[in-house]
Amino acid sequence: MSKQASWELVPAANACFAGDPDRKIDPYLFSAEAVTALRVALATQRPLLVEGLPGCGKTCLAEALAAEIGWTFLCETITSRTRLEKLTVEVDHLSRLHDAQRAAAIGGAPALRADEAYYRPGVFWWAFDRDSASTHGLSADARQCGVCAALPGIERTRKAPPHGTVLLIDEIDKAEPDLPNDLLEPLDRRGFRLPNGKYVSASPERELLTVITTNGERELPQAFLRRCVRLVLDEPTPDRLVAIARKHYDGANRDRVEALAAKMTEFRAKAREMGRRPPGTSEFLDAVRACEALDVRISADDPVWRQVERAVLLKPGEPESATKADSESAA
Amino acid sequence: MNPPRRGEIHLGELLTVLATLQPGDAATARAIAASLGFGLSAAPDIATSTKESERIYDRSQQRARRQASQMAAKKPSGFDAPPRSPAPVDLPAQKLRATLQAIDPQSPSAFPEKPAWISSGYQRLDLQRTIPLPRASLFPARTMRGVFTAALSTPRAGEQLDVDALLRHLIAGRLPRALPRLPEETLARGCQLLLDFSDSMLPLWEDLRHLSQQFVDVLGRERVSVFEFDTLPGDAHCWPPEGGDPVPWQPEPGRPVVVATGFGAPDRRARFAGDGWHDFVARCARQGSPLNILIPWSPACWPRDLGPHARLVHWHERTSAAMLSRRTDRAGAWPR
Repeated sequence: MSKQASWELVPAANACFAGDPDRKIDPYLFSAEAVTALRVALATQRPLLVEGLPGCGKTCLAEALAAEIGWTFLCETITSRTRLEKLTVEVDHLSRLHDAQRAAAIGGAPALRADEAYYRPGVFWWAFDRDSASTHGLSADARQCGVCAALPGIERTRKAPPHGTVLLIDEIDKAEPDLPNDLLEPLDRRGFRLPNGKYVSASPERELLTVITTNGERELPQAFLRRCVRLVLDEPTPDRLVAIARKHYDGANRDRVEALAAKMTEFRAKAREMGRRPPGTSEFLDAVRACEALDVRISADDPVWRQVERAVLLKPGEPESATKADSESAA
Repeated sequence: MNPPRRGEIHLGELLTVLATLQPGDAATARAIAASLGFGLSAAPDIATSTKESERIYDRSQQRARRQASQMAAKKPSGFDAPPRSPAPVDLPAQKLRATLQAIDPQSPSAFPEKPAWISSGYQRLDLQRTIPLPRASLFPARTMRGVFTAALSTPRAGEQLDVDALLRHLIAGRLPRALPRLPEETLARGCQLLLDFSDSMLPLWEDLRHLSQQFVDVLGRERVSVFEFDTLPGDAHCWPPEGGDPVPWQPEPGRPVVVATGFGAPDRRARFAGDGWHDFVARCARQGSPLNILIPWSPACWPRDLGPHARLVHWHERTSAAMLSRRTDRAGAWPR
């Protein structure tokens, strides 16, 4: 029997991942566009750049896919201080200095370990070569005893190949503008060089899907964009919102969910008119949850609904024109 | 051995993927092509100082012009006449037969009727239906990121230890009060962008709007505060999105300030209001806000006495990050 191609593992369009409550992974409804882009990324072995507004399900897509196909999941959330070294390998100079002082104090060298022992592997190292990431710098005895560093992610093993890892680089637009360009090398070659000159490269036995997300806060360099498979997660239609809500809250009142989905369309249009960020899918799900828990009627004359509307969908500080309009129409 | 670089996504990959995934319909094939970037649709697209300000200007144009003028000056007399065109090639004498055929003139009734809009009154074009013309940017996309990064980067303490400094302390036998860390450049402070919407800048108003969008693209919307002014940047203000009175500009400590202005040039009636500009530069300097002034005109129109705190940058497509990174010496001369 021939080995299954990795892209064949991607679920069909509109398939649903049921969620994993133990690991706090929410259900996810795979759109046709997402399925196509995931298959293309796996077939080409290129990183997948997922774009979309906050709360549209970019991060969940990677988590859900990894859980659905049984691949190991690694994640690094980018901040303005994230550097390439943090994603590949950092040298823990403080520990080394501490060990050197201690060795000098006790009059011997054993406290000072090999240079490699002070390397701190980043997610790229773990994703490319898990074995060396977990055992670098260890003595032969320690390796024989099975000592190794723990994987900083969710480990999963499929019963049958292809085995692989989903690596999520979350919110790359939060980084300094140079970071995407710095990532070209490890993403392109699937490898990087350690400070001691050794080269870490991706193991051919394990598949790797790198998912990079952006809220579009900053424009990314063209050279970076041209190396990525791109997926833009659009705002779901009201019907799709209803379908998503039913996957998350199976027993939710259908009429109420439909009314909320219709409200979402209205709020989005108003938000755009006012040049504000429209509410996302995650905010819609929060509203569904709140309305179900409080048994709220979606109506302008219901004071609880107006509070939910402001707190969850419009958010404090935003103009209340939508609410006012509703009040006036109700009056 | 390092694995080879794969480079950018190319057409061959599209063909390979289409052969591998075998899309059943044209829509899926289009979606695959679009995800690889082959979509056919458009992308969701101080006081007065004797010291001179740093002046970022591409001198190669001047050099080329100077060289041309020097060469012209060195030319010996007698060579000013243009070169003669080469003699025509002799062709064999022959008569070609015309392949054009005469057609019968049509009667006026055979022409379609005049369209109604020709004789109708004046109508404005429907701007919603017009296609915006492509616009060349004064900072092209290929250089924009580098120029902005070089202009607006500010240092901060990084996370990497400064091992050399630490060793110097240890060798000297004293412990440092704080761990020395290597500085790193950051754009986290963003910038305040002050745009000159005076009459003298009228031809560039659209470029000013585009410039503010470029800053937002590189730095992020949250990190760019856009102000507008007429003639003097110290009077700049912004309009809050929720409405209300304009908010006057105030320098923020350590946050870079970028001014796009023409200093009233080329309108000769407008005069460079020196005092107002010096006060403005002084306010920025007091707050430790780096100041970059983008000027679309040639250096002949640039003021010379704004002091060392202001960096004058030519707002031009040839301006590059390398030009900003090179520092002038104390006397304001260009590095050799």
